[in-house]
Amino acid sequence: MKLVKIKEGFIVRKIADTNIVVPIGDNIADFNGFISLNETALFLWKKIAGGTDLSQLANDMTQEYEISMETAQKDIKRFLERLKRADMLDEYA
Amino acid sequence: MDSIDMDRSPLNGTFELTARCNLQCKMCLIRIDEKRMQELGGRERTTKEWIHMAQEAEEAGTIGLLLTGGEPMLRSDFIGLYQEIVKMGFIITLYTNATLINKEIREILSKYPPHKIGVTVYGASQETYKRVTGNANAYLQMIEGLDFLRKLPSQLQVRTTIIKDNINDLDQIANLASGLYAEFSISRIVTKPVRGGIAKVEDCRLTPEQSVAMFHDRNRKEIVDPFYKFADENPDLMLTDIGTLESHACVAQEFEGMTVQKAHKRTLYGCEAGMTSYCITWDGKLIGCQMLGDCWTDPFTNTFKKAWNDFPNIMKHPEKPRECESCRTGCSACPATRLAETGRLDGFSEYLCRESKLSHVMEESLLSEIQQRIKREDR
Repeated sequence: MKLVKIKEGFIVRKIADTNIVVPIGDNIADFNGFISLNETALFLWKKIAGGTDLSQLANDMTQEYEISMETAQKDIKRFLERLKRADMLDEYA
Repeated sequence: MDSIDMDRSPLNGTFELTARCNLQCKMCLIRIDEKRMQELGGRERTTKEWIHMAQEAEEAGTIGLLLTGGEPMLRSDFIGLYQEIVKMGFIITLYTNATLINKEIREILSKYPPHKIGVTVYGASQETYKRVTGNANAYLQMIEGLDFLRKLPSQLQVRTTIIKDNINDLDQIANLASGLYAEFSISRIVTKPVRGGIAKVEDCRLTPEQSVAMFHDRNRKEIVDPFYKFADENPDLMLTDIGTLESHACVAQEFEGMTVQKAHKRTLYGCEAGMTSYCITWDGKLIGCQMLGDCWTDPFTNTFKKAWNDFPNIMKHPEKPRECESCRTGCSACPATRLAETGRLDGFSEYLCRESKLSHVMEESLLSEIQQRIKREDR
């Protein structure tokens, strides 16, 4: 079972109609501009923020958006890769 | 004024936590003392009040938040205040003179560094600090403070305000910034203090001629000479192809671009004050920017959102001074600087006018020199 969690020190702010991720603490060292979250990304972010396992995440997404498991898994994979590139993700086996 | 059709959003806030300072700089725009506080009748807001205000600003959509003063670290509750505000998700800028960074402040800034820190440096020696701030020891305290701050992951900016007493230290202050890989910023103009500030600037500030000569020398050192050096070292390059250098040379064009942009957007003061930015003063007033005090709303009594929404309805749109109506020179004066100099948003200031005109001539002359060089080289 693979668990994923957003690292400490990232706060989502709603500015006008956009959700952006603001780094605080040591994370500001890597701050190269805002990451904005669309609706789906925000949904995933909120699920991952407190820690979740990937299979549960995929289930949640299929229910929320009425999409296939395959599509959900693809979207999740792409989003997690983005978070990893930005060093925002902790992963636990 | 109808605020409904104005595109306003409180994106950038300034919290002026105090107007007190541990230094007594001759040219300070803001500083007041206890006596002046009593005369003005205001009170500094409490820790709880500021934290609550920060929460309201966060809910209203403020993203950039400047914590400043006076000297914000002079507040005995600075640590408690800072550690609550920093966790709310603002992009935090902290302005300080870096002389009061004790052990506890180091700990909190290490744990939660601001995204940007602006340190004002007043000179390059204890003697200059004594002349400018009244406190010779503050120089060494600043050096120690800067040495700590430079190790944080924050973007560092060294800021200075040049008057007659520290102009001879300018190059050394610039070198200090460059040694720290910090941005370096010189206050464009020294105006009289605002909102009851007690400094007396007329005797110590540079004349317009001296100020423009100083910026001319800086522009030559920072922009023009490096450009010529680059051109000399790369004789085969077509200089008109070099976008970066052209952007250095395009000061006048950038200014024109800004003027055109402003003409297309309705604003309150001709800038972002009260449109996408605001300041909340040490005594609890919401104003357009830290220099303005013509009118205010009361965010602590009426909530931040109401104070922000009501602001256009209580302010009087400033007119241009009559003397300026036919002038076509690009002018750096604004309602805020006019208010500081004359007591009126539409007041005419000989000082500001002379500085603007001389500055315009200086910039045009440097631009023309660069363009001539480009033409000669590329022939």
